[in-house]
Amino acid sequence: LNEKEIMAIIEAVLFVSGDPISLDDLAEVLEITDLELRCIVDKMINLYKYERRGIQIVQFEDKIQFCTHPEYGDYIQRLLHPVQKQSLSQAAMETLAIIAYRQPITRPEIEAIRGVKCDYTISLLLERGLIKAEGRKDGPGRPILYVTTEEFLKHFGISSIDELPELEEMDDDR
Amino acid sequence: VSEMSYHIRLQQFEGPLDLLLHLIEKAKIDIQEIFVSEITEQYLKYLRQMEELDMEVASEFILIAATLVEIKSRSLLPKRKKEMDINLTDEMEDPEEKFIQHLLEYKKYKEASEKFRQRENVFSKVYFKLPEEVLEDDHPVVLTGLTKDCLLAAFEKVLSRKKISMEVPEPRQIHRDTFTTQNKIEQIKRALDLRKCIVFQELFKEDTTRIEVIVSFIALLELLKQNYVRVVQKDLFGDIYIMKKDEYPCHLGLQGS
Repeated sequence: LNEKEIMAIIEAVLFVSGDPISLDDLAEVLEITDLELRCIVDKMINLYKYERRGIQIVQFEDKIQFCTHPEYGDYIQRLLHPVQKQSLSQAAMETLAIIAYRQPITRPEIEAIRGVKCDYTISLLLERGLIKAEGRKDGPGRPILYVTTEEFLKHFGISSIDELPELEEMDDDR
Repeated sequence: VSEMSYHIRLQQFEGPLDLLLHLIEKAKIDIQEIFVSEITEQYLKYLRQMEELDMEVASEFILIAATLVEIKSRSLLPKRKKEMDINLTDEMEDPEEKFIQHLLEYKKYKEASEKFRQRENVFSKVYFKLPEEVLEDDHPVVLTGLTKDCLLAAFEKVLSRKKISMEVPEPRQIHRDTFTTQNKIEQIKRALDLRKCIVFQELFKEDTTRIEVIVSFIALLELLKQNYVRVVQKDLFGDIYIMKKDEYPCHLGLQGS
């Protein structure tokens, strides 16, 4: 298979799947190495960008997926009237930001940073699937630890938690 | 400033630290200067205004107020810092510095959340595609990475979908009421014009419907409310005697209700 054919296959697979496809699985089926695949996927991502296509390939952790380009969202809304995604409240956004950068983190730790109770906000974020409980912290009460989910990455178009927008630096030597 | 505007302003603060950052920003000072500025006074003034407007001041706001006042009052005491420095350990951190660090940290995440908001705005215009239904019949379904929580979430999804479909009202007939309170009231009044005392059971036939009994009872209550009738019941679950308000049932040997 040459590169063009591999690109065509990836495109077809992404179209049918809709859901994210794992790069490992793709490499196995295409019988190429992980590195070769990542190289080709990067090229595809850039090609779609360069040609300003309506569809783009997004990467979440080690998976890739098709989605539309935000620039054309207004036209989709005008023609198809999709249900508007609900945006998060300021309290939810702050809590989510703290969880994203400090995960895994417990509720008391979040509350200490924000200076307010966060139980309602956390249950809301859980309900929206943006965070999940993952294990418990050793120590008194064994509090639940929270981490962000794949849905979180999707909601903000972030490829992995290593790619979060940079935090404004401060002298944080703890 | 009108009461209304305070309500609006209060709602935009996500907590005491948010309020503090707002005050600092408004005063155009650096966070490091917070304790040599008027911020503590402004913060307390704000809490007082909240109280004047009879709003519940959350305990978190009061906690921060106490911390601010404590740090500020310590700074008024003569400094013995030089001597203390030798004994200062990590646990005995300077409370002022500690508070500023806390505020800076909160600010960091608050600013991050603003970046998240921008990204959310952009990505709310991104659409994903549902998968094609390509599973073959004999293809074994392998479920991985599932937890009890996933199962619960799926079940709740099904339930909520069912609720929605059940909410679509099916057309049905609504029958005209056969018995009305008004008719029953008139029936009771007519009966009382003929006889001084009637028994509740006389208001309907023995093979009546439950609804007629209920309507009769409501009519009776209504007449009681209008002070038109008196009602007497001798024993528990016994017969209910009905008579006009000024009639006294001497022959029944009853005392008033």
